[in-house]
Amino acid sequence: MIKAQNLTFSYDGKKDIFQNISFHVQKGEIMAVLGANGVGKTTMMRCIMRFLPLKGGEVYVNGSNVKKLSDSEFWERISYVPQAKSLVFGYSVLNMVVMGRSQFVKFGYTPGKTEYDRAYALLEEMGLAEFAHRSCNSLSGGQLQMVLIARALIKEPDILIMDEPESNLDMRNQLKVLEIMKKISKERDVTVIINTHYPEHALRYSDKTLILGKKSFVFDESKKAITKENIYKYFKVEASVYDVEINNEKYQGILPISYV
Amino acid sequence: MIKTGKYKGIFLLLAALLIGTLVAAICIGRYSLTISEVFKILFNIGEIEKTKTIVVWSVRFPRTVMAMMVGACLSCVGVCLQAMFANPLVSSHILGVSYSSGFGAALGILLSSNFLVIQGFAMLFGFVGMALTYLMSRKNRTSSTIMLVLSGTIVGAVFEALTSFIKYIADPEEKLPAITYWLMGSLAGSSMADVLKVVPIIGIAILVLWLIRWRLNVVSLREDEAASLGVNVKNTRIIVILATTVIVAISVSFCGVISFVGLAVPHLARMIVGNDHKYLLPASILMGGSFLVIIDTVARSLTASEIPLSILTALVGAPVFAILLHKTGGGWSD
Repeated sequence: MIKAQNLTFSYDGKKDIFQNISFHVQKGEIMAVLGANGVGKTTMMRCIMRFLPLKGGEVYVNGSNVKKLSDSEFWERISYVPQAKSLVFGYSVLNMVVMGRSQFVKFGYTPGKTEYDRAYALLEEMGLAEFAHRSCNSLSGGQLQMVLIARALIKEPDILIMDEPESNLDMRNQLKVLEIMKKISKERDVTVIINTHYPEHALRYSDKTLILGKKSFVFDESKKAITKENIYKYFKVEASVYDVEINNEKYQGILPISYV
Repeated sequence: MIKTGKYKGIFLLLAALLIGTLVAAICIGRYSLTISEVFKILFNIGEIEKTKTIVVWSVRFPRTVMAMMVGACLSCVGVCLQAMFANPLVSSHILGVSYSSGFGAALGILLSSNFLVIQGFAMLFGFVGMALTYLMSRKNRTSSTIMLVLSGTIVGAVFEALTSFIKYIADPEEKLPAITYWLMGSLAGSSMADVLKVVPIIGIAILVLWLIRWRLNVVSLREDEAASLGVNVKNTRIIVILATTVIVAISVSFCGVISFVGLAVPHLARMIVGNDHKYLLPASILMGGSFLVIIDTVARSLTASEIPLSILTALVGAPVFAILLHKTGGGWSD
């Protein structure tokens, strides 16, 4: 569970990047974070992860204020999945996943066989075992993103923070990544916060949605938050949000029509 | 990826290469010795001519061991800095540390003939140079690769200019040749006493870096990413900066500035064992040792007078650097 109250941040102490943002996501729920470029989505994520200091407000993880947690206590509960970008040094997939266990490798030690076995088992579970000994830089964007998800999962976190995981992927790989995200949150009871540029992904996969704007924000169940009105207000886009039924399943689509 | 069993074989080979080059280096020279003579002298078995014993114990053994240690250390520094700055083209030269250390040594030679003063100055300015480079490249709490290389170049240029100034005002009869020779790198003066002085300090620095060798994998990722894996990036960086600066400053203060070893050897090691620092660091240490022993042996036996080390390391290192640049297309990612 993660709860944020009145988050405010400013780079220079004068002009606030965002103000008084509050939200709460339960165990096993997915929250999507939407917003136009430059409204501070990534900045807010970095504040939650304590990479940037908040000007005001509190974040609670499983009921404890993160200000009171040590780095190792904090990162035992939270995992971060960065965007898949090629590495400077092409480590093998297995090595990359084992890095997810870093905080359990004592100073001066290297990971033992159990850690490598654990990593391999997880790769098998995620259908990535065939890549285990390949260099991360030889993988496609989609495959690398899955490896990064595996690395985030191997420490069995309560909360997964994903930064635009589907951004540079093709349609099929986007679906794969989103499906695995859904599966993880349901099967492992993991809370997921996902930063995305796709309102339709938020509608389809997330339970809650936070839409950030320059001066205000919306936080609600995804279906209530992502409406024609809010898309107009926060993205300056005229869009149609419509229902479709395919094989007796109800879906919602978003059709962008024009920009203002 | 190489299987674990194969690594053992590779490391045995590299260790054998190192021992082989050590023994060969002690044999080779204008006063040549046979392998059996060298073994007898080293392990003190049987009767051997006094002159030969002196050649081994006072001249060649300390010098060769020094070459091995400095080569191993500079390669180790190269690996660590490349990981820390996530850039395979970084070395203590590019970050200006070698230049600032060299300036410290030159200043020390100018002001005094006391060896401790020279070493102290080399060390002090080594730290100053590294700190300046690091601080100058900090922007919004992160140091991008390009900023680091640029600030390293600036710091290096400033200290190079200052060194030139010292040469300009130095006494041309006595101080200037000493400074010039020092800056080109030489192991000629190495004595057993030097070796014993260097071993403990460099030993500790290398041990520290060896202990964090796996952590270097994590630190070479983007800063936030590394932090999110539960590694204290800041502390690891401080450890790397301190240990590498100690090593560079010490090696500059004893043997002058030796270029390209820290750049070329890690890259050669990467070709053999891959990027995992768990294996890359020890492989670079072993290969760096062999590399400098070979270079030094060539330097002292190729011509009647010795060739300064940096001339040879650069002549061998520069082509490697060129190949590296060509291979990456100059487009190392930020």
